Amino acid sequence: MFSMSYVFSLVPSVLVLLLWVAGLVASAVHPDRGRWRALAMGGFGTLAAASVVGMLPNIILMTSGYRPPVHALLADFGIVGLILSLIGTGLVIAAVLTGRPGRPAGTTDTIDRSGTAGTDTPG
Amino acid sequence: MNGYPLPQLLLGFLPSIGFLLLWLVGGLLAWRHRDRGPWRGLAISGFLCLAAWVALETYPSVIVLATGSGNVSSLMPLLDVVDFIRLALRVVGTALVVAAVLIGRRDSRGNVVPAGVDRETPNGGIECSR
Repeated sequence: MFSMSYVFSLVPSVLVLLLWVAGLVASAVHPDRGRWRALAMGGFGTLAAASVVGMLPNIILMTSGYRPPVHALLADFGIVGLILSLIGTGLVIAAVLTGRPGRPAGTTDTIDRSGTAGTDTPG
Repeated sequence: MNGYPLPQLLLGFLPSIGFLLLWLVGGLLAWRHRDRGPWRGLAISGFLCLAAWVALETYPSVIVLATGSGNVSSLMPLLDVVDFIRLALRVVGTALVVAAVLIGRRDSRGNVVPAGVDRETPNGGIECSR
């Protein structure tokens, strides 16, 4: 019942889960408190949850085997994972694009010393 | 179709097409963004990597559509390579998108940190890494 192929099939999902969790932690501790941060934390958290849901079928199959009740459960996991992935993808794309200063091409960043810390630039 | 009804196969493509469109729209928006910071290159590369990963996710259905059956024993070595490329695209794309979200944000004083600047000196100046 316990097969190494199930364990190996989890490796890609674990790698991606670790990346989303790292992004979530990095966003949480980031000094910038702009609107992008909430979007990023929501997106990374949702995609991490989707990765966990994606791993659950393999974990269940690994531990309990393939039975009719498990089969019905796997379909539910698929739908939940799909919805979470769609929401998370949208949030992460919004987080990438939000809060960027709209500089014209070819210009450089400016250092603002006026003390207006923490203000968010509309993206 | 040997037990694989065409409507079900086509329905199976829908989620992948949805994700593919999302990543491509993200890449297009990043490409057209007025900010030309280093985040933009990371975002475009990351979105395109993830779009390519999603496109490669559809290959089992494409093979069934193309061959009329799921019997692809002669293609197994090729499919192993495709699986490896798929994994690499997914991991690299995810890392690039995470980096794109975090790069080019404001520091604790509210300043946008330019590319190549690592930290501020005690007297308020900036120290470049290159």
